[in-house]
Amino acid sequence: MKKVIRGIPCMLWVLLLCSFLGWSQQTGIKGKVVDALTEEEVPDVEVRIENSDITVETNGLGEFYISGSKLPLGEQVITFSKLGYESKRLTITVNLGNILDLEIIDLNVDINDELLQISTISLADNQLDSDEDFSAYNVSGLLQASRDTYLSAAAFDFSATFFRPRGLDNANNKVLINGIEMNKLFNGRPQWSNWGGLNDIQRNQEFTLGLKANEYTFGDVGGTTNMVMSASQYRKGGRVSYAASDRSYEGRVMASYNSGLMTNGWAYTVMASRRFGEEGFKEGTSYNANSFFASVEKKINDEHSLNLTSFYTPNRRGRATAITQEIVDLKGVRYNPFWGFQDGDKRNARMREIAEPVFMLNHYWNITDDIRLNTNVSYQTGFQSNTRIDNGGTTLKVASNGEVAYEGGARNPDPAYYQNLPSYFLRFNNVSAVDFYKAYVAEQNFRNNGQINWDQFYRANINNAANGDNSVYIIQDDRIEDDKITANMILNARVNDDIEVDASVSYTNLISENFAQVDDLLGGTGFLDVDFFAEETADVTLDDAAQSNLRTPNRIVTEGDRYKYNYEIDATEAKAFAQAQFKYSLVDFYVGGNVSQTTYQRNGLYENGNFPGQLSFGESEELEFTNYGAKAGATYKLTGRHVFDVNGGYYTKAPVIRNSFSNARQNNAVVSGLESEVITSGDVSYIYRSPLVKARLTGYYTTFEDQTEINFFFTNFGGIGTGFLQEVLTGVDRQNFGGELGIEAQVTPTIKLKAAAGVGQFTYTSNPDVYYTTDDLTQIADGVAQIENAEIRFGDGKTYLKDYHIAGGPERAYQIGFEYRDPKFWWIGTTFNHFSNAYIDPSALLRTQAIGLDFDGLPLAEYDEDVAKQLLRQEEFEAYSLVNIVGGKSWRIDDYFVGFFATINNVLDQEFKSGGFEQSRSGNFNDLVLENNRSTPVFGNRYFFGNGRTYYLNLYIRF
Amino acid sequence: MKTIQLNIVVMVALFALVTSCVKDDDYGVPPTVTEFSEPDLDGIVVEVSEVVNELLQAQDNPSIPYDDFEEKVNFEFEGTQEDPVQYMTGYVVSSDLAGNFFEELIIQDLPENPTVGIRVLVDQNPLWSNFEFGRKVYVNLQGLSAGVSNGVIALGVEGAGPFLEQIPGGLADGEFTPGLEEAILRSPVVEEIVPLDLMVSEFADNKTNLFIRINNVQFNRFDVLGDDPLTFAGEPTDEFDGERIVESCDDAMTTILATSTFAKFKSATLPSGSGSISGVLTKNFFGDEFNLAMTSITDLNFDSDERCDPIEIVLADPTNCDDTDIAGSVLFAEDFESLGNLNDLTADGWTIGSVVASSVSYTLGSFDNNFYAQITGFNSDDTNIDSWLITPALNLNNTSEDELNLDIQANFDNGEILTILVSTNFSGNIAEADWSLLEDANIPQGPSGTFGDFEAVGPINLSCIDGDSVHIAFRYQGSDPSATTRYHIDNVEVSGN
Repeated sequence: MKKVIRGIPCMLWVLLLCSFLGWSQQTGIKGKVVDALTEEEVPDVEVRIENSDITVETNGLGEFYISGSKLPLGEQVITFSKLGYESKRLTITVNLGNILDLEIIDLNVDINDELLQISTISLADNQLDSDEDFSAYNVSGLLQASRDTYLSAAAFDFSATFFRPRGLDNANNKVLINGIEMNKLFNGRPQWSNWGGLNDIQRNQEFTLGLKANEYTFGDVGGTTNMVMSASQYRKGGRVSYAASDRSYEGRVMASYNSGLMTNGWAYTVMASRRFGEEGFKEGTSYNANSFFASVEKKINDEHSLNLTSFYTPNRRGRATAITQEIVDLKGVRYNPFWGFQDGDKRNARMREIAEPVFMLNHYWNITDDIRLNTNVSYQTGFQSNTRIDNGGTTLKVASNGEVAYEGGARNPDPAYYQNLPSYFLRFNNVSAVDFYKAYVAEQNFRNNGQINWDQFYRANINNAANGDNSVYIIQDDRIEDDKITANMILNARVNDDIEVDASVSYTNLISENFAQVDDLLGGTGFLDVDFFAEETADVTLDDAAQSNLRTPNRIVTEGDRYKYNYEIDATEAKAFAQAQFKYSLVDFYVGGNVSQTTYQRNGLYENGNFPGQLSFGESEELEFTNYGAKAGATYKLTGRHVFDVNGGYYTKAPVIRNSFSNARQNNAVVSGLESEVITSGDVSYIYRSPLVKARLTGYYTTFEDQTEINFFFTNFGGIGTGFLQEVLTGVDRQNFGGELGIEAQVTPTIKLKAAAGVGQFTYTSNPDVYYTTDDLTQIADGVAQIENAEIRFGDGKTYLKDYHIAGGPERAYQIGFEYRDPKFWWIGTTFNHFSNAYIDPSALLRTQAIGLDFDGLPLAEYDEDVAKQLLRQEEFEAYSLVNIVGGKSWRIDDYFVGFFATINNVLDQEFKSGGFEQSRSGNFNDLVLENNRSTPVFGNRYFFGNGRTYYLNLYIRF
Repeated sequence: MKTIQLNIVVMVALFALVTSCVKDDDYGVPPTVTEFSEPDLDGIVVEVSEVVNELLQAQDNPSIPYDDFEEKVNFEFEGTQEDPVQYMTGYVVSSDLAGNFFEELIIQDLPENPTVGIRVLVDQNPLWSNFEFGRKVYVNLQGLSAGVSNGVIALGVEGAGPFLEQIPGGLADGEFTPGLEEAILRSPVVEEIVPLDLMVSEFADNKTNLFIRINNVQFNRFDVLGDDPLTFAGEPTDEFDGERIVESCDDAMTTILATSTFAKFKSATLPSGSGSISGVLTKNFFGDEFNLAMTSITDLNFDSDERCDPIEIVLADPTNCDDTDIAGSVLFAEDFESLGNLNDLTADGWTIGSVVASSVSYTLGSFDNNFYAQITGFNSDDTNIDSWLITPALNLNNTSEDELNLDIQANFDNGEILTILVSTNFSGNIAEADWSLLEDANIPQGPSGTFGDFEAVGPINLSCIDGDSVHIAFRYQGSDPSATTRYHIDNVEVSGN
C-alpha cells in the first residue's frame, strides 16, 4: 500500500517532466493480435491499460499502437479483450522513451461465445411466436454483446421469461447494422427475425447501455446495439454447425465462410442456415426458416473502403397463444388452440411469415487518421404475413324484390372459445343437473378434441360450393409489405487526445402497404368481400355498410386477392445527432443532442362502407412531429478500481405508426390527443474492478409522459354490447425505477462465482384518457357512454390505472451461479434464478367509470367501491425459480476446431407464468361480482406459460 | 484446402435441404371430407313416424298435447331387448346458414310429400356445415327423449324442468357427438327437398316441422305499402323474432312469418307484391300460434306485383231521410234467439264477411238467456279489422215511411268503431256494392272498463231509400289493441207502412 502511495507522486513527476520536455523521444506499446488457433489477425480487439483510461482497438491487420502523454510508466497490466475470445492479461513494463513491442499476442476463442446464440434464439422465437403486443417483452437478446455480469445473466438466464431490464419495452432499444437503424417505424421495435439464423456473422457487436455515449446515434434508454456486418471484419475461416433442441426448432444447420481481407483488397463472407421443426415446446408450432447472408468488401486504398452487405432470412412459424387457467388445467401448458390435424399433419392456422431482405451499401472513408466518415444506404423490402381463420364468409342472396341479404358466417371456430369450455355451462348461479352434464360433455369434448377441426371447414365450404355458395371459412393473411430506404452519414472526429466528436444525419422513407389477402379458400370457390358483422343503421343501408370497398361492391375474391382492408402508410423520418466526448484521466464526460422530424400519412385504397368518402378513402391528415433530445454523462475514476458513472437524458419521441391511427384498417382517423412522448431518465453506477472481483451496482429512474397505446379486441361488454373495439389510451405516464447489481469473482483460475440481481418498480403514474371506436356502434347502449365524433367515452373519459404495475415480466430477478473451466477445454456452469413481482396486464376498459354504471347509464345500486377495488386488484404471478445447466467441450484436430455445448434450461421443470393479460369482456360491477363468484371464470385471465425443461445441443467445426 | 472447406459447406447445405422439410404450407382438400359412405350403424333404422307413435303410446292422452305448454310427457328411448340401439332417419329441412334457425335441426320423413317431421334440439352451432338442407341423417335415439317443445314435437334430453333440453355435445369427424356417444350421423345422400304446398287454412299441428310452401300470399298492406315498409325483423320493436302478417289471397286467411332477429336477412325490406313463401311450419315460442320460418331469403318468391287487397270501400253520400216517424208494421225482424251459431243466419240471407284477411268476425253471443250478435277485436293481434254483418235483402219498394230499430250494447269502449250502412245494389261482394252511411244511426258509447247495457238505437228513418234489394250492414272497423270496442247487436227490426 505504501509503495503505491509513494509511486503516484513519482509517476506524476515523471509525467510533468515529460510534458515539460516535450516528446523528444516516443514512449509507446505496439503489437499484433492473432487468433491462437488460426493465426489470423484479429481486428477490433480492445487493448486497455488497467488502472488508466487508455484504451485502443486493433486495426484490420490486428495491429495496435499506444502512445501519448497519459501512458503510465513502469509496471502495468495490459488486457486484450474481444467478444468471442477469452481475455488476456499481460504484465508489462513501460519505459520512458522506449517503444515496447509485444510482437504477437494470441487470443483463444471463448467457448462461451457459442452461448451467445442461445439468447438470440429466444428473442427471435418470441417475436415469431406471440402476438404483436407481447414481442415487446423479450429484449434480453439485445444484451448478449455485453460482458457485464448482470447483463449476461439477463441475456442468458433471465431470457427464459419475459424479463425486461429496467422494465423497458423493446422499442426503447436501438438496433443498428453497419450504423443503420433497423427499428421498425411501425412499432419502434427491431424485427429480430430479419437477421435470425445468421448467428455466425453477428459476432461483431457493440452494445451501449442506456443513454451512454454511442458514436452512431443518440440512442434510447434501453441501449444501443450496433452489429458490424462488413466482410473485412470477419476472421478468415469457416464454420459449420448442427444444433438440436426441443424449444422452438428441432434442428439447425449452419455454415459460413469468411475470406478475411485478402491481399488484393477484397473480402467476402457468405453464410446460410436452415432451422426446422414440426413443433417446439408448444404444440403445433412448426418452424421453417432459411437464412442467407452475403457480404463483399473492397478496400480501395487506405482511405476508402466499399462494402455491400445483403441478407435474406425468410421464416415461417406456427404461432401459439396465451391461455386461461381453465384451459391449462384441462390440457396443460403446452396446449395450443391454433392447430388441428389435417390428413394426419398438425396444421397451424396462425402462421407468421417474415421475409424482408436487406441490402446495404457502406462506404468507409478515413479522411485523416483522426476523421472518419461513414456513409450508408440501405433498402429493405419484402413482407410480413400473419394468417388466421376468417369465419365470416357469406353469400349474397337476392330476394325476388331485389332485397339483399348476406347469408352465412359462422361462430368463432377457436376450439378454446369460451362457449366450448365447461365454465360456460356453469356460469349461472343456479346450476342444474343438465348444466353439469353439459359441462361434462364440453370437458370431454375439449379434452378429446380441443383442436381446430380442419375437415369441418372443408366440409362446410364444399357443401356450400355444391349449392353455388361461397366459402364461409377461409385463411386470411394479414400482410404488410414495406419498402424502406435509409441513408445516413456518420462522422467521427478525434479533435485531440481528449476530445472526440461524433455526428450523424439520417433520412428514412417508408412506404408500407397493409392489406388482407385470401390465402386459402379451404375447398370453396370464392369469398364474398363484405363485412359479416355489418349492421344497417339509420344512415347506411346494410349492403353499403357491409362493403370493404364501396368502389367494387360485392366482389368475390379468390386465393391471392386482396380484400377486407387495403391501405398504405407513407412515413418519413429525418434525424440529426451530434455528440462530444471528453476523456481525461480522472473524469470522462460527454454531451449529446439530437433533433428529428417525422411524418406519417395514411392513404386509403379501399372506401370502407362504414366510413364512406374521405373518411376512409384517399389521403388522411398528414401527421408531423418534431422531436429533440439532450443527454450528458460522466465517468469518475476515483481509482482504477473504483469508478462512478452517471448518465442523464431528456428527449421526446414521436409516437409510432401503430399508435397514430386509431383504426387504420378501416379509416383515416388519427388518434385524438396524439402527442409525442417525453422521456426523462437518469442512472448512477458504482463499478468495482479488481483482479479477483468485478462488480457493478446501478440505480436508475426513468419517466415516460404522454404515451399512446392502442388495443384491439372483441368484447361483449355489458353496457356497450358486442363488437370489435379499438381502445385508444392517451396521456399514459409511467415511471420505472430500480437497481441492478452484478458481481463475479474468479475464485480460482478455474472457478468463477457470480451473482446478479435486478429489482425495480414499474408503474403507471397517471390515469390515462381512453376512448373507444367501433363500427358496431349501433349496439352501444345509450346513456352509458358519451359518443362524439364516433369516439365513445365512459364517465369522465379516464381509465384509473394510476399505481398499477406495468405488465412486462418479473420486476425482480436474482441469480447466483458458478462456472468451472477445466484447462483441458471442457467447462460446465450452472445458475439458480429466482423471479418475482410479475403482474398481469390490466384491462383499461374495466377501470373506466363504466364499471359502476347500469345499462341505462344510471349508477348501479349494488356498486360498492371497496368490493370493486378488491375485484380489480392486479393479479401478481407466483414467484418461481429456474435452474439452468450449461456445459461443453472442444478439441483441436489438425486445423479443425471441433466442439459441442449443451444447455438444459429449467432443469426442475418448473411450471410458471411468464406473462398474461386480463380479458376486457366481463362488463360492469355486477358482471364482475358474478364472474368472481364462479368457481371457474368464463373470461379468465390469459397467461403465457414459460417453457418446461428443454435442451439445446450444438455441435460445431471451425476451420 | 479451401476447396475441401467449401465442399464441407456445400455438403452441409445439401444435407440440410434434404433432411429438414417442414410441412407447413400447401394443403389440399382432405379426402375424408369428400369421400365418405353410408355410416356403419350399430342398430336398426326407424322412421320419424315410429318415434312419434312411441311418444303417443307413452302418454295417457289419446293425442299429443301440442298446446299444453307447461306439462310435457317426455318419453325416453330405451330401445327394445332385440334392438337396444335405434337410429331415426330423415331429411334436414332447416338451415342455420342464414341465422334463422339456431341450435336445432328440423327433420322430416321424406324429401317430397312428407308426412311427419320432428325438431331436434342440439347444443351446437353451426349445424349447416354437416347437416345442410336436404341432407339425410341418422339420429341415435339412445338416451334421447321426445316431447313437445314450443308446440311442436321435438327430440332432446330430459332436463330438470318440464322442458326438453338440448342434446349437448360437439362436432368431431363430421359427426355430432354428445360426449362419448355418437348421436347424429350423416349419410352421403343429399336430396332436393320439394316443399309441400299448403293453404293457410290447412295448417295443422301434424303438419308442423315440415318444409311447406304457401302460394298466392302477400304481406299486410299497412306493413309494406307505406313510405317506410317493414323489414323482416329489423325494426326496433322486434325482440327475438319479427312477426309479420301474411295474408292468403286464396282463402282470406292470415298467418305469421316469423324471422329471428339474428337472421342474416332480418334487415331486408318486405316485398310489396305477392307470391309464394317456403319455409318450415312451426309455432311461436309459446306454442300457441302457427309460424312459418324461412331458411333463406330466397325462400320468398314474390314474382307478381299484383296484390289482393280489398278494394277500398268508398261510401256514397250519407243517407239522412229526415221524415216524420210513423210507426208501421214489421217488415223484418231478427232477435238472434234459437240459433246454433251465427252462421245459421246465412241460410236466411244474412252475410257475415270481411273485406280484409282477418280473424275477427261476428259471432253469436249470449248473456242471461238472451242471444245477440257480438264482435270484438280484443286480443286478436289483428291490426286491421273490417268485419261486416249484413242483413238479407229487404224489399222497400212497396212500403213508405220505413224505419230501422235495434239495440246495441257497447262494452270495454275504446272508440266508436261500428257504423251502420245501407246499400241497394249489394249482391254478395261487399267491395263491389255502393254503401252509404246511415247518419241517423247514433251508436251508443259504453264504459271503457266493463260491460255496458243494451241501448235502443233508432228509429232510423229509411223512407228515402227505395229498392227491392236493400241491405243494411253493421260494419266493424278495429285494430288491436287500440280500437277493440266490443259490441252486442240485438233486436234488429225494420218496419214500414
